[in-house]
Amino acid sequence: MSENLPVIRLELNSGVFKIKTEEAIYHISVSPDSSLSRVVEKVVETESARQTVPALDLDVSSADLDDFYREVSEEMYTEIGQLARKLSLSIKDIPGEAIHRVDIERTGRELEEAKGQLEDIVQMTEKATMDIMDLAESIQDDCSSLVDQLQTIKDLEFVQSGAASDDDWDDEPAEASEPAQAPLTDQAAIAVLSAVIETETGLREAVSQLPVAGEADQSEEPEPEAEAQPEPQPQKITTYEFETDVVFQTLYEFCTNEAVKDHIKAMRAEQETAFDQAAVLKTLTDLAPTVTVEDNFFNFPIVAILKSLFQATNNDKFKATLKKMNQTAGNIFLDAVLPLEGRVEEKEIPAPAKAPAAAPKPAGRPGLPQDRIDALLALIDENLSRLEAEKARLEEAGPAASSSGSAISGDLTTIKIGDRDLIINAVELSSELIHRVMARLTSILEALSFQDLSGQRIFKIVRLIGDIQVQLLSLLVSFGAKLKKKQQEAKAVISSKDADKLAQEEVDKMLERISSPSDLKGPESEGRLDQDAVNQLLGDLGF
Amino acid sequence: MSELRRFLRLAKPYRVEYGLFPLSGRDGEIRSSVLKNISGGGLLFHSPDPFPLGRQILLKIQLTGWREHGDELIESENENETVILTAIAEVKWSEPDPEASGFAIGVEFLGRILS
Repeated sequence: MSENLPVIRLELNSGVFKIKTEEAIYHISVSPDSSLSRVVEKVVETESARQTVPALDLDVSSADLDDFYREVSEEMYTEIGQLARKLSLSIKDIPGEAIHRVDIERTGRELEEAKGQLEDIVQMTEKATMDIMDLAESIQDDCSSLVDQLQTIKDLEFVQSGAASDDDWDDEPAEASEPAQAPLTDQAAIAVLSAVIETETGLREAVSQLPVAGEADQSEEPEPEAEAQPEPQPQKITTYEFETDVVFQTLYEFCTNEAVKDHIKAMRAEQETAFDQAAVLKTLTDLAPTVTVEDNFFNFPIVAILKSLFQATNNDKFKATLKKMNQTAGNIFLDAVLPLEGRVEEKEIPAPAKAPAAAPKPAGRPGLPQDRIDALLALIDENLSRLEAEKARLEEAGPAASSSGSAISGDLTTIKIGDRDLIINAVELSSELIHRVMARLTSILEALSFQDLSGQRIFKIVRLIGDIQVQLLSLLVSFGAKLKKKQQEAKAVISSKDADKLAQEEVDKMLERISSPSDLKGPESEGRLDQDAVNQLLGDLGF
Repeated sequence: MSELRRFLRLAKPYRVEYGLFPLSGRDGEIRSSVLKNISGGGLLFHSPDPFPLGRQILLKIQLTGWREHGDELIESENENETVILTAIAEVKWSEPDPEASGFAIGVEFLGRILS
């Protein structure tokens, strides 16, 4: 029969097709995932799992089986109780949140989320810690560089010499009068040169007027020494002798500032050890011919004396003091010149050619051969030309050099160009370092800002722990209620429904008990666990 | 039959009724047997007669301990409760049964009849 039937070929994509036959109407749906396979798989898996569970020993008597279940139940109850106790102790000091639910499924899901959040916190904390440590090390490096730069400034000679005794000068005005400040600069040198040139000119004039040896003019101004040496060959030069003690004493007497006088006194006390007295005396001796003399008192410029003392000591404190004295000389001394008592001696020298440099006074000079006078004049002229040239050089370079901070070696008041550059570089670098340190501190603050986020996440986790605590307590109370009921009515038959109802009542009582007291409820305390009540509850349950 | 090995097999002697599909004419005879095993892809049952390969057959599998829940099946608390799963399958294996007289028929599920 079937050979006579037409064959109809259907190609199905989706949907339901209806085929009506004599026996039935077929609704055919085509699905790549038939429910048949899924259903059968479920059956197969479930049944297979059942077959692998070891069956209980059916030979065990019913009483033994009850004992077994009781032991297991009690063991489980005990372990849950101990776990609840530990959790309660751990959570006691952590602020909790409201009791929301007793939903194990949801809590399990949130526990997974909490684990992820904790991992995030750990990673963020580690990263932030590493970042902060790197930044801190960078800051340490920058600070070290900063210290080095400041040390560079501190090591500069003029800074060291000016570092001491600043407080002792507070009673003095910061700005000294212009004339008093100037002498040790270019202008001061020019002034000194002018004075020397003037003296040298006078000397030349005096020498040119000396009587020539052999001429009868010695009787006009006879001198004992001259008479003792009638021969023209032995030359006499004038030497000057000063004492450093007299220098300090005179400075002390002419000083008007008591604080400075104390400093002078201190320097005087240590003059032998702190000062190169020979250097001081040499400077004074060299200058002596250039200053006016009155009754063996040489009128030295004060700044020249201060400079000679400055150069003759290595004591930093004294250097600083002398520098300050120089800067304020116009205010702390009575006059710009200091009348310093000295002695004048004339000595013979075997080589007369060098003698004229000592500039003998015209008065009282013995007669000299004409060639000697000519030699002296030539020497003086040479000195004059040198002095004039130096003066001209200073006058030409002075103003520009002063304004630009040109270096003058050994000068008290100027800064060497190299030092100036060092200072500028150090300051610029220090400023840059400070900005860098500030930027890194800002980065540290940013790195720490995640703490706020961490706090929020930790709060959620704490809340979750609170939920778990409630669930544990509920389990505990539920188990406890059922076991207790069974113990009380050992032979009574308690249905599962009755046991559940009893357990739920106990759980409700427990939740009410461990909630914060109503009289303490407020916006923050509402619904929170009363930890004392929890501990009391656990105690009542024997944990 | 190798296709069936992708699924976990359960060797449980569920009862099964089978017949040619569609059920019509004299070919509509229904016979009863027990399963040798079953999986998500198909099943193996005992038959006194062989089947030609590629033949479509109707299967009514009686699963004890299960009950219907919509189109799905769920475990029944009553282990004696039985649910019938009706399937259309294609014969893929028909060989003499080594364990008994008759044949072992292996089929692959094609679909399910829901009502």
